[in-house]
Amino acid sequence: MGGYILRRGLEVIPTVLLVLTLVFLALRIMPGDPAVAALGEFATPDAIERFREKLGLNQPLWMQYFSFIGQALTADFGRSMSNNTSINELLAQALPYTISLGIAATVIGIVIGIPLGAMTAVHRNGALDGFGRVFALIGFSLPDFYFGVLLLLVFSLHLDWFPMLGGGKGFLDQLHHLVLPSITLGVVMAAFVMRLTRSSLLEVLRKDYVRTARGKGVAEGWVIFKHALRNALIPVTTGLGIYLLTTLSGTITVELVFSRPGLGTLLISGVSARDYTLVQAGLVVFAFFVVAVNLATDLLCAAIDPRITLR
Amino acid sequence: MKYLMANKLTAVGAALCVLLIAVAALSPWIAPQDPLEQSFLTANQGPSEDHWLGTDAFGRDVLSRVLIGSRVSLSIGIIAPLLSALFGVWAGMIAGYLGGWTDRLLSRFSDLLMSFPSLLLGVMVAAALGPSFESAVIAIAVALFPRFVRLSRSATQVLKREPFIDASIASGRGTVSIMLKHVLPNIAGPLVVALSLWIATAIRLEAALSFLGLGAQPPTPSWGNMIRDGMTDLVGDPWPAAFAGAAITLAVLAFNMVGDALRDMLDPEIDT
Amino acid sequence: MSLLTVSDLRVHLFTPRGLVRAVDGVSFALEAGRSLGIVGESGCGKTMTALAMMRLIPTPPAQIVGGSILFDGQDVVTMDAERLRALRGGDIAMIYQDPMTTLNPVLTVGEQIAEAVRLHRHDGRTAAWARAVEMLKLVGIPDPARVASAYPHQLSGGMRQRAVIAMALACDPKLLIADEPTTALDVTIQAQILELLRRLQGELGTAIILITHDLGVIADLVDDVAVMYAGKVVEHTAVRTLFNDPKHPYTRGLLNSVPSLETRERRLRTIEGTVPPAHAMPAGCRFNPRCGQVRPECHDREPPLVVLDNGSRAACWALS
Repeated sequence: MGGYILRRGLEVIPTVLLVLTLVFLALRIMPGDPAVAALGEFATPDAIERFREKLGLNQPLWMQYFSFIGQALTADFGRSMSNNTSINELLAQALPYTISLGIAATVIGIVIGIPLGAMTAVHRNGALDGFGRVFALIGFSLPDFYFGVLLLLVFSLHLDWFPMLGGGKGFLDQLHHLVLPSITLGVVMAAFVMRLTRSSLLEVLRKDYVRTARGKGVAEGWVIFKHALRNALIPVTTGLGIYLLTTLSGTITVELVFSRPGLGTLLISGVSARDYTLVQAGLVVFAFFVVAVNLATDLLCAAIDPRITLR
Repeated sequence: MKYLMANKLTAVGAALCVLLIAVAALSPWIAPQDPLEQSFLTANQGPSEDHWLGTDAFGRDVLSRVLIGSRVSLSIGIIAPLLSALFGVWAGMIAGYLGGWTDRLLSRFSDLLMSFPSLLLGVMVAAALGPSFESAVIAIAVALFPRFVRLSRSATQVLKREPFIDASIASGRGTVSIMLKHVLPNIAGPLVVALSLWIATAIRLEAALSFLGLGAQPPTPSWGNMIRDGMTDLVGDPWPAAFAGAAITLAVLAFNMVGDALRDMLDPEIDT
Repeated sequence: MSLLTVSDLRVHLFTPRGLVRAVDGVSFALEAGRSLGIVGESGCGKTMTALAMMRLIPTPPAQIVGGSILFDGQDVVTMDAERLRALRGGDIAMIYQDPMTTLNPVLTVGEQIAEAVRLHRHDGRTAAWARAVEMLKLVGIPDPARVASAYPHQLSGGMRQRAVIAMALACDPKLLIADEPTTALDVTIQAQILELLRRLQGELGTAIILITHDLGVIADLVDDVAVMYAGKVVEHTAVRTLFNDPKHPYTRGLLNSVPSLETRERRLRTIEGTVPPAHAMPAGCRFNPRCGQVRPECHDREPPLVVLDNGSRAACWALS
């Protein structure tokens, strides 16, 4: 197990480099000069030249590349082009809102999705299964940000149970502000997790070792919980890992709906202000999240499935 | 019984898709009002006889805007996956057929794109190219590209081992001709399923991008930017956002239903 | 009273293509400590019969629609869930066909054995684990303590089947059902597993039902044999009688297709034709399309199982 973690951990290095390269290339194909974009079309050539120098844009591409990688790996992103504040400071303020939202949504998705999926598989074609079908179809079709708007309309504007906008001040208030955004993402995720759990468990329940467990006299509840569900969770974990990335990008739109001052809001504000350095930093942080989620998924799978370490 | 149910759902889904496309095509003629015509006298109204779905903050007719907005959403939703398929399917066939270095390079690249959530890729492309209709198309096409590569690559790899491919090579057929004649028809089924499911994905992505202000730019109405505009005064006038979102949901649902049904038809063994 | 009395057992399969009478009126009895072989081609209903003994048949599509299975005087068919749990793995245990799929991949071998021990002998965790190791040793696994904490994928097929046998015998069952226990294994391993079963039967005195399509397997492992064809028992006799004096035309056909060192014939003789599809069974005797001694009445009525002069019971109009 220790060896596997080490091996899988080392594999992250080339992935991180590749992902960073992708971000770098994407931003360098941007048409037009970021300096012109930042300073406006009527800036003097002199000012533009000074600006380019400050950002290192006058250097050859390979030098820009290495200084970009260096910045990304040391988490030193310099200053925002549009308002000259430290990007690291902006990130530090935004990150807790995004991370808490991501974790809360995942918890909701798992806590609702897995038991519901298991129940719909066990009582296949029953009333609950029918409900699950409808829930899944809606969950797959309802865009998360629109669901957020609807929740906002009903529970904030109409019933006034939850605060409308922002991130909140102090722990309890922040928790209060977290409820609707995390339900938005969590419920949509639950629909996905439910279907995944259902089909995976249905497949496992046909396996010979489930019959073996019944043949030993294990009670039906334990057959499902101990013998079947744990096997069914292996594909669910992999699928969940992929879906977590969707949730991660979903935080961008949902933060905008609830005016939550997180990473997504920061990134989008950078894009609309054409703040090149801020966009670059935001994308790098999201890219790190992507790599981290992929790594965590693989390690979790290895923890559930004893066959993985040998490979 | 279950089969009949599935058939009925397929019919409903297919009918919805056709209806949506027809509405999008005919919207300039069936829209009751000019979607851009502003009038401060009628701003922020709920549904009424004159305005079935109400008006927005500029007094524009929401029904007309939803109808016209379908053009942007559906055209991006359909063009982007087709564009992506055009490149992705070929790349996948070439990777699967040639193997070796070409395959490794293409697979690694599409794995990398795949590990990025589509919306994030979309934001990245929109950030690079600037927000517009075209960059939304490119963004979504790039996001879907690796999925088409995977689909056609694995199907091609399976087919490559079939004896009739060897027979074709022996009879002197060129590589491109073999792909067109044998490989393409054989992956057509799964491809059609994927296309309809990914049109649904594309419609949702387009909506998200224009909601973020990275898609079609105002004043052109699209479902996503209608929600965005509606957000500014959700208290006073929730109607534009509510109805535009309902339209997105309906369109995504319709294409999902057709895709699911087609998949079940192709692969009746799988119980989803 | 016999340990096990099966009367007129009927298992139907409800498939999209129609009703299949997988087991159609099977009856037999087994005394404590004795052993019975159930022989037949694949699809004859022998596995369904075996699974029905513990009510393990997959429902849906299969269902026990009639008959009784009296074990120690209690009917398994109508038993409540709690009594059934005590029976499964406690009084009756089973060895399955494919050891690669019968063990749970995410639980250690020891845990899977100990679980049965905890359920039926009500031992604590430590005692149950010790019992698991002891059972692994009994079935001839070297280094049983290490194997107990191994996962199934770390063991070979033969080792896994030994572990399954250890699991089955861990709670001293009165009846052991072995469903094709060697079919999925290599030939050399097959011999070892059969030898193990023979030794354990002698040491523990467990009654055994051995299900197989291979007559060679049963020759020196069971006392009696029931031959099944298309859901019915066509001949039921002592194992020696079966080999020396087979009566039913189907049994004779089966015996002819066993390769033997004594026969000079180069070609193996097989029974002509195939088992008819389940939804297109012929009227009368189900063997009539393939039988060499077919008579007019064979097409009209099903032959009953009758006692013959050599003590065998067979269902054939040509014999009665």
